[in-house]
Amino acid sequence: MAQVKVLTKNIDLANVGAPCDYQRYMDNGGYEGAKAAFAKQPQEVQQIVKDSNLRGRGGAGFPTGLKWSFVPMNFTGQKYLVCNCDEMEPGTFKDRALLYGDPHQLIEGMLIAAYAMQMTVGYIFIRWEYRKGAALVDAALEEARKNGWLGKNIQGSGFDFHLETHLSAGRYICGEETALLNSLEGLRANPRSKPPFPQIKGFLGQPTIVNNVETFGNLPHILAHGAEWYKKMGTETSAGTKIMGASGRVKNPRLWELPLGVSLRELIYDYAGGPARSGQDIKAVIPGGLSTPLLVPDEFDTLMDFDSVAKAGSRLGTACIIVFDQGDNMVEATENIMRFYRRESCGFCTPCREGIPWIWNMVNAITQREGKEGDMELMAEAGRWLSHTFCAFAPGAQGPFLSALEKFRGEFEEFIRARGAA
Amino acid sequence: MIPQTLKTELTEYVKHYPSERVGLITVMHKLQKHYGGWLPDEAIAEAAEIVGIPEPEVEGVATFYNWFFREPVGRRIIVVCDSISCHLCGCDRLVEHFKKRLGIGMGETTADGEYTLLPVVCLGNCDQAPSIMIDEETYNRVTPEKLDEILEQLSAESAKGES
Amino acid sequence: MADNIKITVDGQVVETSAGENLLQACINAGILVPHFCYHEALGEAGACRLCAAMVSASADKPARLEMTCMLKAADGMVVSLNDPYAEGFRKGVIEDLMLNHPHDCPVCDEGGECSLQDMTVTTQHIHRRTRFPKRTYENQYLGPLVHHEMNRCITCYRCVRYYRDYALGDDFGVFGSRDRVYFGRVRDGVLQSEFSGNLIDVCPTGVFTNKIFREVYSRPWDLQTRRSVCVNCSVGCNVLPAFRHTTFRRIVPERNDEVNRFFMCDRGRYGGEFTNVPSRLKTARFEGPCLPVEEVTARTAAKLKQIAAEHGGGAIAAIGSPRASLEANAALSMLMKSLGGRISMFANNAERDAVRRATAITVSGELNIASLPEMEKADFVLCVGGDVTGEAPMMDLSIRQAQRAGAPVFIISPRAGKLDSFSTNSLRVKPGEESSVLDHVLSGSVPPKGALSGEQTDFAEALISALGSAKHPLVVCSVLHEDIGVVDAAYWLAKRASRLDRKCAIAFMFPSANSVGAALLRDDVAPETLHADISAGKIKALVVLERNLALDGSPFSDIEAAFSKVEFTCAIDFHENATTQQASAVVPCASHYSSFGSFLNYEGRAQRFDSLPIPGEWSRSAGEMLLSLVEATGNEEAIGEAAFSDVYEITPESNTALEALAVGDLGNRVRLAGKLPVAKSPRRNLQTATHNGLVAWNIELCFGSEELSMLHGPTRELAPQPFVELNPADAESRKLSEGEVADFSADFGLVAPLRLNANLAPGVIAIPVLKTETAIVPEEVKA
Ligand SMILES: Cc1cc2nc3c(=O)[nH]c(=O)nc-3n(C[C@H](O)[C@H](O)[C@H](O)COP(=O)(O)O)c2cc1C
Ligand code: SF4
Ligand code: FES
Repeated sequence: MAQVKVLTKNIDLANVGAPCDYQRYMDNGGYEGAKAAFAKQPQEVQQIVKDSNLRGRGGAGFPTGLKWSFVPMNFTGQKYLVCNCDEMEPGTFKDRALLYGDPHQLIEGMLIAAYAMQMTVGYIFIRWEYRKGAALVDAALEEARKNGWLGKNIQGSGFDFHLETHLSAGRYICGEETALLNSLEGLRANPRSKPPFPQIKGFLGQPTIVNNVETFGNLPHILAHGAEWYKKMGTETSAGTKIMGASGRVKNPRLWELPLGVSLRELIYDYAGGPARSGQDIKAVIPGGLSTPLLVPDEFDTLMDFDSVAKAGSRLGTACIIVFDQGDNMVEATENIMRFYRRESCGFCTPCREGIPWIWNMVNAITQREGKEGDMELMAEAGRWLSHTFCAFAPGAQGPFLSALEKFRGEFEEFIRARGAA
Repeated sequence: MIPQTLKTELTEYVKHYPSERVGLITVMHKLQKHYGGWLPDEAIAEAAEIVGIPEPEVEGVATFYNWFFREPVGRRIIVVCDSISCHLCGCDRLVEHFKKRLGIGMGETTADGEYTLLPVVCLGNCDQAPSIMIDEETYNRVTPEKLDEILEQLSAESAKGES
Repeated sequence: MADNIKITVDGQVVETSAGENLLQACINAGILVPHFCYHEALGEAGACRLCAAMVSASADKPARLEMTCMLKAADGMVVSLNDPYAEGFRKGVIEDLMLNHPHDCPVCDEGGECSLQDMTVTTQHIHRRTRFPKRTYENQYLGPLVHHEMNRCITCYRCVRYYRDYALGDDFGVFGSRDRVYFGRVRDGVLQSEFSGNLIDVCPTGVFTNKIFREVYSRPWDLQTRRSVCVNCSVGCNVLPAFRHTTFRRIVPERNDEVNRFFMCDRGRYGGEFTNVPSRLKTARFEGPCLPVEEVTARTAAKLKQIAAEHGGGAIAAIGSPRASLEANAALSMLMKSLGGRISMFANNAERDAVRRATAITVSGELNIASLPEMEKADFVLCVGGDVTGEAPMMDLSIRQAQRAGAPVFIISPRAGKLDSFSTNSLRVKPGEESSVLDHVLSGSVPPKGALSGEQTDFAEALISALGSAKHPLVVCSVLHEDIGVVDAAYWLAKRASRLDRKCAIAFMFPSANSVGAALLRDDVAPETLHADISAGKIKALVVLERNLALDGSPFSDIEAAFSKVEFTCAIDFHENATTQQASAVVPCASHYSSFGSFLNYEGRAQRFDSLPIPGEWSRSAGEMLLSLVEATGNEEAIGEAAFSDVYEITPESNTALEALAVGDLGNRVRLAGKLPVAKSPRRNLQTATHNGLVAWNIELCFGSEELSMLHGPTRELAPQPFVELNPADAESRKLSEGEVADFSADFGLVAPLRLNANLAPGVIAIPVLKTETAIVPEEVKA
């Protein structure tokens, strides 16, 4: 499949460089989607998004139109729109490109969503490490305000939208949408229980929609060209294009915009150029950011769309793949993965707070050649319970962990047998 | 005590939110900058007063997030991404090199108070791994040799700033 | 009302109401669902993950592992706790929690009542399978009451949910993250909440423990307990005082669903240390030497009879006690009756009038009297004339729950207390002026120009509008400031606010644990009348029951002067104090927690308390001591089959209920028989007298103003040093500044460091009530 340029029509993914400014954005069809939206009733805009089959790009792939439909439209109080630009999932670097490369596209996308749900206040939640990007967005917000795309009575429509950036202070859990809302409120970023869902009771207890940067990025194009046009890209259940990426042991690590449904093999070998190190074949891939289970070579024909990857026992996630080659040791990789989850757990619920460090301790001991017989069973048992935690963080750790344990069992056992050898 | 102008600025700033507490994290970032990169007890009390919440709430936030420091840190903060892609691409070598060159390991500050070295979650530069960040600047595909250049350039900058 | 539904739990059909928390529904049905973070008062958190079970919406639907605390019961639900997968998961959760637990059970002060230990055994996690180092934390100094041992923490978040979210304390929090979550204060220091001791009970393991109890630790199963009622205020929380051998060790709250339910205040929890006071009286004395109790009783009886014979019954009087039991005061009253003497219960006429009026309102049955759980459900609260935190601490905690649920809280009083920080509207007035503001609210008409200040009008208007939309309004009124005008104003307000569709509840805060009982005593003599008779030399014999006259603000406070006019004085008490020291005869009795009897709490609720039989004649309850005195006078016939309703102004039905009352009952409210005669008294009490432009106001402190908790133990440590307070404007006009030692000896008889308080009404000098008396160690203990 060939690369496409929808979300990236103003961005050179090989070299993001300076952001697309207002003038260039307008010259290239900017705010056409917003104009199209304002010409319709909010409910019609929602319907178009629903019809487009757009699914959330934050990792879970939840249908965006459906998510929006839970917002009570007859609610007269304040409703909020939030953009999730936390992007701290290891191996994921797509939102960065969209944020730094084309801030107006994000602003326009949020404006369309805000109008569709009649939300008059919005925040762009940005991780602290992207603070330079936040400054670029601030500049773009100023341009948008000056040109009447934000503020009061936007383009004479009578609709007001106030949008600003909000810098976080760093924690992976802030990406989880309810933890994000707590963080936005100035609280500790522990997740909240659902129900109530944010659409009903979110930011400050008001109806709130949280969407990913890339999800918003799709909206101007859907509105400008229509749902039918959009659905022609991608697969039946995974419409549209996706910013995909590859990092790790590939010759050509970078991002591409591709229709959903491209094969994993094509991504690895054609786009990313195959193994980076000569003589070391690819032996495993994490398909969509660190929290998705590993796929091995005989699964590389899997198509990169939500349902196909799920069928293969993993998840499309962020569609940014992490590639391991034969020279990589999967025990050490697992140690690194579990170290990350241990460090980033919010500490709220038991299996995550206690179980992950325990597993890490065991994996770490194994890498130090201090593994013991029985560790495999113990790790598998502790890992099994990670699916019943308060939020999706620990299940995210469970995916790569259990798949590594299962698919590279031999490597673990070898290390355990080598006890005392290090 | 912080200067009255800063206090007024922050007090006004938090008022623009629908609830003042929404401004807490921004206020803490600004106080951290004012106090030389970390939050002493006094800063916790100031933030509590500005936002109008009890101190333990601020302390709870200060000790939750990775980027708030309750102990003094170096003038520059170096964070090394140690997430999976950077791990694959050799971030450990960089950490070793820092140890050799600056004499500090993860979580430590150089004796002259110039640098603090910390691990960080994936910087979103996985295609350019390994990646590090020093203050606001991101450096990609860093090698030990490149690291030497960066550090030399920074110390030259610091020297210029001091003279 | 919620619909009744049926769910199935491990094959057992359980009835519950739709929407009930599923975990609670199981517990209510007597089914143990392991859990830590869920707490009936605090609700669910979903943090511990221990309450997991396989749950399906109905028998034909697939089951999933769910946290029962996070679900609401729905008709047809099928819950399987004993599913092997769920059991395995719960065992895994316990194993996770035990990875870092110090396993210090043999020396742990939670041992025997540790929920973690129970759950560990319940889930059958028996063997340790981890081999890694455990994390450790440093503990904090949290003050004299609560000990901190963070290594035992299992991170259920109950402590912070209780302290911050439930009790609204602002000096405690949760810090850190990942596998280093810490619960405590920002830095070492005394916990500021008056309800901090409940941390001990909400913590399922031994992180927060009773610092006093652990000093001389006993294993809980070696303790002996009997159900009792707290003596430290008029709320009447149910408690379990515990003894090891014969020494008092600790108090924990005991559940009474109509009173305190789960919690109690720190004054009550730690205020029982008076039981161990070194000045405990263990011997009887008669005119000097120590003698056996029977000897002293016999000689006292003889003396009383002799005086009655010589001077007539009118020469004999008794002073009863609002903190002694109904039974003890009844026995004293009967002793007087048999000798022809009189009894007086109160400190002064103003207190007597106010307490008797409030009691009449409380037990007349006319208005709704709010229990603590009812207070929590109020949707409007008005507090009049006092400081709830200091006067009836657990009412404060209940009002905080109402406030949390959205009830507006209005407070009108001379000085802001802790509750004011949660109030919607607070108004500062001079003592006594509460009633004039409320009178205007009552009249509903526009007050005459100038009658109320702008601030007062605003308060009154806000109050009227909030009251108007309330469905369950509540008025709480203080009786501790001896102002009958305030009592009347609160009564009229509650009465007028009651309409067909809603009743306004009322609750009075009384000075003592059994004030209502004391007020109901028939034939009570006014204190000033008795005092006049004593001064005139008409009284030749005086019996004092459990009253330290030096501290009660009565005309008898100068004990030496009063007793010098009386030929024979007998004091019955459990500890040596200024009164026993001056008495001709001293009869020791059991202290409250070694004593049995009944109290009427602020609701007029009769509650029976029990004690362990403790050997030693000195540890018989005051009531028993008095009965033996009656016996020794040879007048037991006169008492015969006397009923409570012969002594107290209560209905025969109340008498029957009172006699049937058992320890551990929810208790029942007595009803007034006839009308309690309340003396007409001036609207303004003694305190409203102005000196030097200032009116005195008593600060009733949680720690410091209650006599028994000030006798001994950490509650005494928490009392402040004497001080006085002025509004900054008053200080300025008098050229006084914060911290300086101010001399008010001419007008108010005190010299103390000055505190400025902007939340004190202008023109008021606030003086803390500090019931400190240097403990008097009896000779035989010293030796
Ligand atoms: C631990 C964790 C981290 C997450 N991090 C992010 C993130 O960085 N960015 C993001 O958009 N979504 C993240 N998510 C997903 C969000 O919870 C949420 O589903 C998403 O923001 C919704 O946006 P979408 O519907 O547009 O995909 C994360 C979820 C979890 C459980
Ligand atoms: S967190 Fe847990 S035990 Fe605690 S009550 Fe709930 S899920 Fe249950
Ligand atoms: S793994 Fe290091 S930048 Fe992503």
